[in-house]
Amino acid sequence: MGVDNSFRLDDFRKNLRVEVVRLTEDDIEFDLIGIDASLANAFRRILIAELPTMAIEKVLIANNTSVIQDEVLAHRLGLIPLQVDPRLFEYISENDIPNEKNTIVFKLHARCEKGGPRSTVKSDELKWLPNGSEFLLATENSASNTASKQKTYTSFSSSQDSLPEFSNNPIAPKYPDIIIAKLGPGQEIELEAHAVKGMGKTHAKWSPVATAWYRMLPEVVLLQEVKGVKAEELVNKCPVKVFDIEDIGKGGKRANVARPRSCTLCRECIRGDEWEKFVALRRVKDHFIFTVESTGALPPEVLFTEAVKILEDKCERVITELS
Amino acid sequence: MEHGSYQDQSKATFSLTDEDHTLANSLRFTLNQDPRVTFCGYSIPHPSDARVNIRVQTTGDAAREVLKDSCQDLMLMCQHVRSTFDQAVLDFKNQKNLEAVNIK
Repeated sequence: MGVDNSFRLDDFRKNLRVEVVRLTEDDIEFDLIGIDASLANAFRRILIAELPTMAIEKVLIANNTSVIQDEVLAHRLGLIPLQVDPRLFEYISENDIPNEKNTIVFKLHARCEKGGPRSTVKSDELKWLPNGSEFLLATENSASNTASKQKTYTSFSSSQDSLPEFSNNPIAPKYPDIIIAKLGPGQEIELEAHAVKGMGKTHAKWSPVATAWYRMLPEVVLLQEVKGVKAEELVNKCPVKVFDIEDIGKGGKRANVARPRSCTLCRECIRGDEWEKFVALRRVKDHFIFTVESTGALPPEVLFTEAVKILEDKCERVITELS
Repeated sequence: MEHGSYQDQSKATFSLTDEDHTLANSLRFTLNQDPRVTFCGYSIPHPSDARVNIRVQTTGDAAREVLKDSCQDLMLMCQHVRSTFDQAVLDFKNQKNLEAVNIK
């Protein structure tokens, strides 16, 4: 029976094609041809919900006299995309101590001078603290001056910027111009934000993609020949210029399908009397045009590779459970 | 968790926790490709619980083994997708570099 399975896999290997159409720093558009819809959808779901990222989760607010409420401020901080590779960190669970392997600490201290103009707090004011939290834990011990080191909210045993990945590029939000809050004269915000690893499943702030989607390649088929005046009419009807005219000797014109990829399925070409007999609009069942827009933590091609790895890990987990 | 009969190993329902359509639909697809499978399907008993029931009925082989083989097949397919994608990205980047050099 193993022979049958390997035939199918060989067919799959022969038929699968990947063609990259566009690749920039933040997004990628590529075609997956010869794959089934269930796999394509699985990749899309994993890209959106199960790829881990770092995002701010706990906000320790020392002082907030601005008009933005504490919880609204904390919510906004959580949504700021951070430019840091989540694969370098571990998950933290309820009872774990925050340390340099599972937490990133940021500090925000903004003040608007009394008598001065109103000011805006942007995301570049979030400063990375590689040595951990600076807020001291309230200790009951009155003889605390005998203790050599005060306890803070995190226990970093080493500084994060001693790691080679961070020594030359400090951790910061991806975009420095995101407005966090606006301050009037005399208002101040002083807080510490702790970022942890999470998945989009729990909260959308941990989703590494602005979005990821696919569409199936439209298939425009001319059921009968469209010649002469009708051909001109067809070419003019389509708003995205899917059809083209080709000359067939003696001044005759015929319409053909030149750019099916740009078809938006607006169905303008089959609107009107009897056009449905000439044009059929379908989708190619195994040709997926994927677009992945990254928020900046990881480059988009790495995101897709990680998503496929996660599907493999899921299979492996099922296999070990069954064995 | 496998719900089946000790006497008849060819039919069973597998209840997977912490899973949803992502894995279940892909597994169902690879199970359907296997010629030993007479019936396969999945259901989600309640959308608030992260639990999936996969039903497999085969022509005689143990359902557990068939499911394991399908998982292996899915893993191999994923590995192939990954390597093809990496190669395509590499080719695209090389082609862009060549074009940039030619323009200069």
